Amino acid sequence: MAKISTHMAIGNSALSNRTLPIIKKPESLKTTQIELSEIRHLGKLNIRCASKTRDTVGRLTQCNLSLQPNQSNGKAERIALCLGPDEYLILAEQGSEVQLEKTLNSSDIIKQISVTNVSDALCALSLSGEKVRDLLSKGCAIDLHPDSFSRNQSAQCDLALANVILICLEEDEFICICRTSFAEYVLDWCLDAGFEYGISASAGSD
Amino acid sequence: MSPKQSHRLRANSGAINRQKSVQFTFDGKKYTGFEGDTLASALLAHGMHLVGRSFKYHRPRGIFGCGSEEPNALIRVIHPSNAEPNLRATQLEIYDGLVAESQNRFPSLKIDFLSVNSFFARFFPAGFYYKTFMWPASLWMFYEKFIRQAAGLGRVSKDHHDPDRYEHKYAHCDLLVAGGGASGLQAALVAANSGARVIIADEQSELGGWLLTDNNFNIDQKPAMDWASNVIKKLRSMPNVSCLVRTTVAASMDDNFILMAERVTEHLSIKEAHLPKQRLWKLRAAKVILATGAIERPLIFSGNDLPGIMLSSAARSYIFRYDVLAGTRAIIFTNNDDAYYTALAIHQAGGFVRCVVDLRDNPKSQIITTLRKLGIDVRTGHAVTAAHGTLHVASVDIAKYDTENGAPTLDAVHMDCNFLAMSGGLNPVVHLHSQRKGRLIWDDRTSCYRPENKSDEWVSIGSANGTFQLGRALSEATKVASSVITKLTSENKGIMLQETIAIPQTEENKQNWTPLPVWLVQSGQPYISDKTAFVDFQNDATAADIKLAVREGYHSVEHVKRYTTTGMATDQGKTSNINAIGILANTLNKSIAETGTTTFRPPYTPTSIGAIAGRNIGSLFAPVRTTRMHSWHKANGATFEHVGQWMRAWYYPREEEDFQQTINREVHATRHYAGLLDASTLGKIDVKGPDSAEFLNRVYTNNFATLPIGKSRYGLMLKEDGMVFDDGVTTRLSEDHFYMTTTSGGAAGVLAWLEELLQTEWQDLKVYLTSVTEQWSVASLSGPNAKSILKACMSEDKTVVDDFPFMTMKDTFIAGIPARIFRISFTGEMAFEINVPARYGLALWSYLMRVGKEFKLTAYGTEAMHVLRAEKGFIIVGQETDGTVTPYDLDMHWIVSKKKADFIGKRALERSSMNEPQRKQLVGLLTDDPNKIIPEGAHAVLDPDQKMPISMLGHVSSSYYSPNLKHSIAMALLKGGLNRKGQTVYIPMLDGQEPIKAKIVDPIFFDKQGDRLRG
Amino acid sequence: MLKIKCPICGNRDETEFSCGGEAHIARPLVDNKLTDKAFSEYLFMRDNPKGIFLERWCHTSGCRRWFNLARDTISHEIIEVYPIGQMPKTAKGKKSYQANWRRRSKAEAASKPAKRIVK
Repeated sequence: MAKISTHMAIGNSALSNRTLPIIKKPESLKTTQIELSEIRHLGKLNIRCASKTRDTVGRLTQCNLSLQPNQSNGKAERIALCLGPDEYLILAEQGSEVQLEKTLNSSDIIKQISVTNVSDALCALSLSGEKVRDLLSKGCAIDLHPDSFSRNQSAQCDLALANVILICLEEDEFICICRTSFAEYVLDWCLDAGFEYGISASAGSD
Repeated sequence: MSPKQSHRLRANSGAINRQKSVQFTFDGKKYTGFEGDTLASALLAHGMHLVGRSFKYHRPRGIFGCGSEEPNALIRVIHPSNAEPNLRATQLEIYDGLVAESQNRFPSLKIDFLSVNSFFARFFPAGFYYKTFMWPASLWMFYEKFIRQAAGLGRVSKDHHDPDRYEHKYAHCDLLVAGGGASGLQAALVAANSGARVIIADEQSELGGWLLTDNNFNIDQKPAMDWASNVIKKLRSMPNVSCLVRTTVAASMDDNFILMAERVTEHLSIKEAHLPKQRLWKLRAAKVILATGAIERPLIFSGNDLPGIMLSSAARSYIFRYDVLAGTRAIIFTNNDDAYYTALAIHQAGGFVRCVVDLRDNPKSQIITTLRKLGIDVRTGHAVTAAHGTLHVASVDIAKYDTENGAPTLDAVHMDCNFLAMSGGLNPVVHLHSQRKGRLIWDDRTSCYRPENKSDEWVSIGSANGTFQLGRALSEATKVASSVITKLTSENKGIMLQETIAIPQTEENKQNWTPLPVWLVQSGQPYISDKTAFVDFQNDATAADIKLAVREGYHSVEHVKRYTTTGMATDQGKTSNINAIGILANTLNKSIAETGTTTFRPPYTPTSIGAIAGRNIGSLFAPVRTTRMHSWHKANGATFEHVGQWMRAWYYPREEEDFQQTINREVHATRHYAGLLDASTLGKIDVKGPDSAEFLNRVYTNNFATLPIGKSRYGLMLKEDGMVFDDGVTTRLSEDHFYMTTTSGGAAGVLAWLEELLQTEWQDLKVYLTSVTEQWSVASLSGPNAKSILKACMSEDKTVVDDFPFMTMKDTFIAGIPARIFRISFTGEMAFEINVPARYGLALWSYLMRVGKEFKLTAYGTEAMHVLRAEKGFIIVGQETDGTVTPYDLDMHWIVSKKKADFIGKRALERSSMNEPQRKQLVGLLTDDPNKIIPEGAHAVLDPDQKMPISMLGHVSSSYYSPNLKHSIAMALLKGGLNRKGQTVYIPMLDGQEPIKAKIVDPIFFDKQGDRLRG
Repeated sequence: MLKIKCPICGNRDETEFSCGGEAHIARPLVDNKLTDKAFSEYLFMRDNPKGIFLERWCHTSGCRRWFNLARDTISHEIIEVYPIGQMPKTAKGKKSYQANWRRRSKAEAASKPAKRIVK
């Protein structure tokens, strides 16, 4: 019987169809001022739970879920976002979402909550550099001034013609989450809009 | 060598940079100007006034203003690869290599064949277009050619290609100050010092407004512009302030959503590729201060449109800002004090002021005495009753004038000149206020409409508010800005008003801003007509047109505007509106306040389509969504089709195959061996929660509460009006977990509709919906060999495939990949929809194709999918349905539960009209000629020979060639179709061919019993 | 373009929202005896007042949550934002609710359980 190769076993990510890196910058610029890369296979769990089960979910996922909508916390390995009064998105290190899902599914509160693995449904792009806010403000209507959109804040909003979730990690470091089928559009939009500042897009690593 | 700048002054008082000369071309001839010049000032420096021909009469027209109010000097700029029409020469800054040309002239500015229109002016009276359209249609055909040649403003470039880059930028601020004149600067300074985020925007190339064009005043004991320069420097140094120049605040909309058009590289000789030509700002401002200034009005008399006649303020501006003396033998015609300063400026610049003609009887001001002392001929109580000249003003008639009766009292004297500057008072720029439905109040004292400041969101100050005196304007700006900031303080902790704010001091201006309103100067001479007394220069509307409109019964200001087209050109009546209202009021014997005013609508100045489109052009016009298998489809030569935003593989042509041959091959292979379709675009929704079954029971017409775990069911979803909304297969994964599929195009709409029901109708149901469309890649494997292929692929328990009944689901592994396999079919063959986490989509697909090779597995696209399902009579929502089709119309009575108490659309389906026998119902059509394919969307009739209009029976919703039946097949929605089976219908063709003859049949063309499907 | 204060996400542009039309249209109960004509009041008839209108909106591009708002159709001013399933709290909102012809329609009467006694 034919076996699929190891490479295939890891699977594709949203931007696998594209040959990266791509660098766009005016000749007058020496370096790029925006770095974009895919956070490949970042684990993503959509969790719906009411306030009474929230702390239990938080304990099981090792996340602090006492968040207001459009707030986030954590960094790198595990980030929790509040998307609405009873809706959370947990971003977890590649692969760890499988265990998290199992833990929640086997817990005794599972009947009261809903856990859906959306790791492949959503694509996470890392955007960093001092011109990131300028780039985003070309297509995003929310107030991106550092006083208004700062660390640990997130927003579900539109970026150009795509629906995205923006997460502010640091003053000039963001995660942009979109549906995977929109990932190429978002990439192409960023490359064109970021040209002015110099932008380099890379595939990210597994 | 380019010609001399004969009208450039020696004095260097203005904003131009004498060190840097700039070469440009106008109408094929080379000229030299200086950095800082506009095209208008550079042309005037060469003594050139004539820059265009007018819209209707092709009359020669000259530079009239000095900014965005300019009605005449519209020019076309030629770029290497395209051309831009209708740019205002008064705003266009010149740069090295600029190529511009005049418009509306044929063949040249000085000789224009179409200017014969002037002699036929009686052909173009008020309401010309309305009247023309009323003529017999046959005549219109004749006139159209003539009008098309003559009418219109400018030409776009032929290939419509615009190589430039346009940016959008969203921004937020606490305060927007629109206008960077004295009032705007002072307001911005007060706000900026409080810590508020301030944007100050001005359409000119530098901040300063009128202060740039005048040297008559001091502020805080210094020349006014020195004060302004200090303020500008301060503002530019503050991190909370953005100073935008060349930025037009074009539109003010609800809740202070502001559009601003910034011209970024238009003035640059070298336009760097990464910079946008224009940037469209989409600004949300907490508060807006409108400091948009005022525009001078012309005076209306016969011949007032001749080149060499311009606004007094413009004449002064060219002297002070650009060191250009526009005319050497000048007449000044005014109804207020301000134009005397222009006379003084011309005199001081070395020009000869022949005469100052003042409509006022006995004005008393210091400036008048000053002028008389200089020996200048000032005639009060007089009027310029006509101007004469061919391509330039050459002389004027001046007469003693009785403003009460509107007529000269003595014979006119003739006076030669080469320049006339006129001033009819000021109009505050109220456009942005008016765009927000802000009311306007007629102020008799200053004879202008000024804004009624009632809104909490925006407020007008300075000249824009009718406060024309500098000292008062500065004090108003300070007070208003302070009070706006005080309001913001309560909402925003970061803002704190300074305790002491100094109001800049200026010697109280003695200028008399009470103009004597004379809306139309009558010549009193029978041979001089007011048909050449122009009100709207850009649209060629005259005083005579307005009077005619009144005679013809148009009395409302809105009607007169449209009938005469006054104020409807690209300048939106910036210089003409109030004069038009004045003439209308006089003609109607009403006051101006009674006559009312028209509403200004956005944009303030024309905004280019490129700026509005921004980045949403070309490949970024709309997002293109692709599946994870896209690269395989591409590599294997697929042709794609757009399904909503998705790009789906349509068919996979092989060498030398045409469209039909490809479809035939794909369809044949699937029916006889096996086919593989990328079905990843199907909408997928995870339905979770204890009330999921009850919820699905309420949204589908059939029963889902009884669906066993592991089983799938086809469901039809209606809207509350009983019409089919979506369909798809839903599977129960566990007691409280369902996996719903929707149509590809309907996915977002279905999720939104279900969410709406849960949140607004059934808040008591505990159900959570999550879109997982992109979480799963789907390969749909169907055909007689499907089972064998699947078996060959199974990595673990191969017996799974043996015991796999129709409409069930297995959670298993395929080639080591976790998979949900559904035994469901849209082709009518034994079929499996294999769902794997999307990351494995491509791996799965490639693997299936590789393993399937020995089973003659063929990839097929959406077209073959359509044919296969049509052979089986399966509907596609959106093709067989259009929002007016019920399940009964589709002959799907079986899917509507009679037992369920309720579901969405149930009651609506029970309406008596739903059982009307003549509703359009779904049937099949078989053409007499098996090779004739009916065009989709065509209408069917019973009698093609019936006299027109033929009564329609219905339309063809799907039509294909079926290679399995070797016959064309179609589905149609026909009136009373279900009872018409066996009847013959005709499909008339558009192109004059014979109508297609077809028989009405059952829409299931193939395997009626469904034996193949169940296997 | 309106600025709408989503109860979850705060002030956002109108383009992020979709308008669901008139609020407080109650769905008739299953066992209603409404004639087709009376049922059509629920199904098709919508109010379009000049002045305060109670509308349902959804923050489509954001949190996807529905809410009600009271909006002046002349000035576009949003008078209040309030949750689904609740009544407006402002005097203007309450007045608009009462003034709506639907309050006196058979379809709305058929949406309430018969047993309920109105004080």
